[in-house]
Amino acid sequence: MTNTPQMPPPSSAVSEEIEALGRECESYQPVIQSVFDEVKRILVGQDDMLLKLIIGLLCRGHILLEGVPGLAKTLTIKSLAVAIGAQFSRVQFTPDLLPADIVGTRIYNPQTTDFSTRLGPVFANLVLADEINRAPAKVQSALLEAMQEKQVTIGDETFKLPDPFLVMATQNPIETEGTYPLPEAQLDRFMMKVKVTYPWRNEENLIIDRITSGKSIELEPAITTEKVLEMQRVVDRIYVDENIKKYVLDIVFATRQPKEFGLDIDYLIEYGASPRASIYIIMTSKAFAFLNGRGFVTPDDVKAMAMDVLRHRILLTYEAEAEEVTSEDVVQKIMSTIYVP
Amino acid sequence: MIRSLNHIKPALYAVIAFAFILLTAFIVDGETTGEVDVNPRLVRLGVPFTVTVEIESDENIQNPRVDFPEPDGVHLSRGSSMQGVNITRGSGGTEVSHVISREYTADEPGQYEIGPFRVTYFNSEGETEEIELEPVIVEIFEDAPREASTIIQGTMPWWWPYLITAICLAILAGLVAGWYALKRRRIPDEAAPAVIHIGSRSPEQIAYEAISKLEIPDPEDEEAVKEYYDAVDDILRVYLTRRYNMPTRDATLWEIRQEFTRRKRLDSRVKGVFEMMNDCDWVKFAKMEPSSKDIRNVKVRAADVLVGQKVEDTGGVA
Repeated sequence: MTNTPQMPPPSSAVSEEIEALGRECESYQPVIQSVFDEVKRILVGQDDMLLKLIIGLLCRGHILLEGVPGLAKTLTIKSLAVAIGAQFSRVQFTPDLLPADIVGTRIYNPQTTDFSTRLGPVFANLVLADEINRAPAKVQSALLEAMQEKQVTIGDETFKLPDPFLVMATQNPIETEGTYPLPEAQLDRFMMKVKVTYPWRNEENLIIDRITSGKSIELEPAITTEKVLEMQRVVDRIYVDENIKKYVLDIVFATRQPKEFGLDIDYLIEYGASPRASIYIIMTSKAFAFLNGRGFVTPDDVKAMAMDVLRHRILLTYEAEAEEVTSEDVVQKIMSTIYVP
Repeated sequence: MIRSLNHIKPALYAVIAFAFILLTAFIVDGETTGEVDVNPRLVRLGVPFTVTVEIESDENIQNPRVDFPEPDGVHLSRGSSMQGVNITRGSGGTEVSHVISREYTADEPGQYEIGPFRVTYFNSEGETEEIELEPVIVEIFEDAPREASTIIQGTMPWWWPYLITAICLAILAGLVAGWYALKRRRIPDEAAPAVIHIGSRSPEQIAYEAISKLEIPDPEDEEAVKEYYDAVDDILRVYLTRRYNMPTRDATLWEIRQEFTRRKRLDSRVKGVFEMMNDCDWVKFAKMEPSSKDIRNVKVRAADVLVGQKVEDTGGVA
């Protein structure tokens, strides 16, 4: 499922707790694999995007996707929703969208002379916020607040959002005229920013065959949302050693004070990553370890997740832009310098 | 070929832009009433040269006549007069120019100024008009070098051959730069890594001695045990760097293993080192609780893996 580093069993006895946790993680491997297999019946390629969505689900975080149109973003999240037996809703963000279009509104019924509440599309397990940068700030804030609070207030009633709840927002990297780019403070609320790339040639060949054949594939739920909640609780218990925490803190602090780590890149970084970065790196590393059937986090898990967590959290200077240095370059530089425990 | 072109593209673009600018400089946009030209300007003694006067006018002029002067040392060749009319039809209308040329010869080498030239003609109203044109310079050589008297036409400036040479040199420099850049980018073949010896001791000996000197921690002291395995892991990483010239401090064990597999250097010693590092990782990240025998066994394994010695476990805890 993932190109993961497998640690051969040691020559000595492992702690019972870790061993039990490891066995528990391994027992969920077939469950995860069944979700993957079900989604892959319709989805070609984009394994990385699917993996990150599942990690987002397991960590109760939200994902920001960046990719040009036509890369199966909607198809992926829709298929995942079906595979885990969850509700799915899609919101196409446009400049004329209103907050009530996202969260819902109260509607007056003249016959009963009473108000009724109509819940918005945000009340689903998996929500696709398509082209979030096309809507004005007010609408973006309505969604982001719902993401943060996991509840929505309409009138004087508060409604809890369903569990599990994942928002996958997309940004179109082209056609940026007339858009409202998400400010850095709002970007920070997304656990990961995943870049979606074009499929390989052989994958696109398969896509052509599947789509143009006219055959439709109906997906079936492989698991239920209760199973997802169960797996979330297991992920919470994955062991993170102090060495790993120190490693993560070194990485995040290197984005704030690079000189202290022997990095000559402080002229490139305006603002480093916030504490959310540390939290999310640990959380996503735990989910990654879980997906690999391990009850503990290793530096490989951290390295696998750090880029997606950090790339949208580092604000670069004008010098960096002039030198065409991207945040990925900065993160790569940091990762290749910080000592692995 | 495409790769090499990519490297010399900047030089090529510079050359093309420079040539374009120069060529456009020769385009004379605009009308002149009269222009005198000498062909050739650098002449060997005894070789005749031609002075051409071209008269352009917006009106229909008739019978233009040119007074060709004969300064000292230069004289007109008899019967060498030629006269013609050039008619050019363009978007701005029809342009008519009268061309009159005479041949000269020089008696002695030297530089001669021929002119000014007095041009008389009848205008469209039948009246006589006159204009004066600037003199021209011609150089006569006793025995002119071949390149001075060859194909340098009257309209070509003196620095033309130098420009051609500069362009050719620029192209050559661009090609050389591209070839050099291409050569530098080639990844050299994997050679045997330089082993870093400290004094007369091999990296294996240094690593083994360092591990031997570590104090055996109390198995009940989790912190001390972790530090011990941390130290062992550090020593083994430094050993791998010294022996195989590969940076290891910023790589995980899995990444190091991948690199060794790629380099096809997974011999028994390396595998043994990886096993030890794997155990260290389990202690560092997975709360593995080694027994006192396991902790002492680290030194035994180090002796076996690094220096090929079978050492007995002498027991004892710090």
